[in-house]
Amino acid sequence: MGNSQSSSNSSSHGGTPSSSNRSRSSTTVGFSDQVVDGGSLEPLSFIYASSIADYSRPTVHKLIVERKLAPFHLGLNDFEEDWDLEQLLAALQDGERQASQNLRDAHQAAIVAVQEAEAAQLTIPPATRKSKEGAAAVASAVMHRERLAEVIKHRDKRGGGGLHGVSKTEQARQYQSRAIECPICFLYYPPPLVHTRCCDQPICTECFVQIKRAEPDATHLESEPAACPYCMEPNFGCVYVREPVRPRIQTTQNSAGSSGFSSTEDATAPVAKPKPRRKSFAHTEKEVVTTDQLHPDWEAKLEAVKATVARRAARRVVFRQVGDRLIPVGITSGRSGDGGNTTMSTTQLPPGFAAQVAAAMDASSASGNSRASRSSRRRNQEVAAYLQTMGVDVGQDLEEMMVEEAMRLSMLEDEERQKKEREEKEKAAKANGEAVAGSAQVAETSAQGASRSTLETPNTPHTTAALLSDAISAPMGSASLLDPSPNHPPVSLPSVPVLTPSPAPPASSNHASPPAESQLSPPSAPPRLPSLDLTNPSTLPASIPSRLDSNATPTPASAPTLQDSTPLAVTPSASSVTSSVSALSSVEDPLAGSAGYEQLEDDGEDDDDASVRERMAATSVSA
Amino acid sequence: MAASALPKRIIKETQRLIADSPPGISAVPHDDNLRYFDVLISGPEGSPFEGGLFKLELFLPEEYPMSPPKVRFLTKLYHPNIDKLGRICLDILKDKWSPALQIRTVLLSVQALLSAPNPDDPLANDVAAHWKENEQDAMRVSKEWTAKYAK
Repeated sequence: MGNSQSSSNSSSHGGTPSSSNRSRSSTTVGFSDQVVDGGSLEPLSFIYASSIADYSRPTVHKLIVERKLAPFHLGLNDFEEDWDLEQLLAALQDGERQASQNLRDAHQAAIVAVQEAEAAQLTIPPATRKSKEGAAAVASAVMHRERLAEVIKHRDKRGGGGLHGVSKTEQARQYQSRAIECPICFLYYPPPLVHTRCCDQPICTECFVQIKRAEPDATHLESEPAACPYCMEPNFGCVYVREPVRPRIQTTQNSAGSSGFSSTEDATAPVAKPKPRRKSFAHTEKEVVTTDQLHPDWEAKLEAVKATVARRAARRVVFRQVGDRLIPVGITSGRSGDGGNTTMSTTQLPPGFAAQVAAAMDASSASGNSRASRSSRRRNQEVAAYLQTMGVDVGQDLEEMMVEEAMRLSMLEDEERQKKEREEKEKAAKANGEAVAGSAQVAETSAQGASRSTLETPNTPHTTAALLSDAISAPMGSASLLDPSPNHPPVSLPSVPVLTPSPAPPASSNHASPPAESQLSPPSAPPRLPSLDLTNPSTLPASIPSRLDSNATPTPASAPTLQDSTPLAVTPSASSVTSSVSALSSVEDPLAGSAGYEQLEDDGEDDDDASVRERMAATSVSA
Repeated sequence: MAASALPKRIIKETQRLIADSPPGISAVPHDDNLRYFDVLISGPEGSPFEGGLFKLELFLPEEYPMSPPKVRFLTKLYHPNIDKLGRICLDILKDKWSPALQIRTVLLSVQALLSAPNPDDPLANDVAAHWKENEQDAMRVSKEWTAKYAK
């Protein structure tokens, strides 16, 4: 908690989370009470209070002041042309009440969102990239909450949503006998609204500023400008044509209608009255306000998603062929950029790592079923949905983070163990026979060392797995890996050569050795974490009837099985290995492995992380 | 998340739908969740779905109308653009959604899809293949299913 708190503070004040974030929320721009053409520079109805600062506020302010965009007006829920002022005043009051409620609802939701983001942050181990992203999510949620709180405070201070310096009666008169229903939000506004550049249809400013490009995602790496909601013309834009000045404001008639606007109610002015259908504007014309102008961050968002995808695509699991098996020896970090370089950025996997990951994930899914899964799934979905609005993809990254963390912990442990072994050996050499209790165990370990993975080593008390499970989810820490689950009967597995950094080639010595009596819970079900649901495109709130779930969760296609196509020895329980298999089969040719490292192609963006995990699982089973 | 007030648009759409429902279409919200609708669409005349009454569910997500409603058939039907789970392959329910569309227009589009299957953009591949190889026979199956499931 303290951690997330401090990081959220630092990022909201220090400005770590990128300039795009800053420009999007525009918190630096204060409220404006300025009234332009009887309207406001800020929204008044708060129809979209849950995305209150989703457009560039400075741009909108500027465009309204320049009369290129209609000011915001309060939308009336109902309206009749024959309403008198009193009825209009009542409607205004109703509209303001509705606006206040919209704000309160959004604020309430924002408070919950912050709590959930903070809770989610707690499940992420510190000092990883994920935790940075988690902190950014918290910061962003906090920012949104504060923003709403500010709006509410400002509104209260002014005693409601009225317009500064404009009397209620004046405001009501704007609607009289001529309010226009916005075809998007169905509320009534005083004319003129902005009109679409293409088909000349009205749209209220509050709806217009909400329309933007579709959010890019990993499967759709292009971004097209929003289309007109009415006629689907690409490059949506609007034009604001100010109303002709009303005659009663004009004091003198003799000043001659020199300017186009100073026209008249005169029946004698034949040209001005029945407004001819205006021509449509090209989106490049200077009168036109496009959605991209109001949402200048679209490009940054797109770049962010592209970078994420590129980084993922660049990451590969590197295998080494040992005898007739493939052993994962590392994962290219891919952070270095284009992914062309595998050897330089390869992180070495310690022996037994894969088995530990698989076991820990298994345990986490088991405990997740019992309690944590429901709430955390929902929470994660919401957070993911929120993050997606920021162009951050969480779904797959949590696992990536877990794998990284597991590797880190496992390597630390392995280093520790080796160091200890070395010390013990030295000691043993010095004082032969005077071994302490601990060193006896270690000696035993080193004696068996070559044919054992760390998990199988009796005196390595599953610490990595425990740490990992702690790291994955806090409540899950109680799930004991030591408890053999009845669902996962132990399986005897053939021995696996341990790839320690020692230069000794392990292949030949182990080739003929009898199977070790290693017992290891196989990942009989695909390790399933609550967080995996983040990849689910559905962001349905919990209130949805469950029937719709199937609508949103496509059933995965069946995949080829491993046994047929690869030289790997795989137990039947590995049938859960799916999409990564085709990648594994690409190294069928034993000669291909003689070079030492074998790079496997990713077989798709979608299951990138899943396939990493599945490769791990597959190898651990084969090990 | 606390149930927030229903946007005016949804209230108005619902009122208008009930007061003046399009021919062959009815949509009624649940009492306990006004964003969730039970929908009935009758099979269009001249289509193999004629005479059938098809049940659907429709849900308006929080972001509606900036996001499309979620619509799914609950009645089984043999159609190249509708899969086993009742999911519908219709562009306006996905990337071609526009906030100017409404429940009414969406359901009319779904009804039109029954009249005009598009096997070139299939969701149910086997059905689409069948449709392309032998449209007559595929339509015969559709009729059979309509008689069997959509009564």
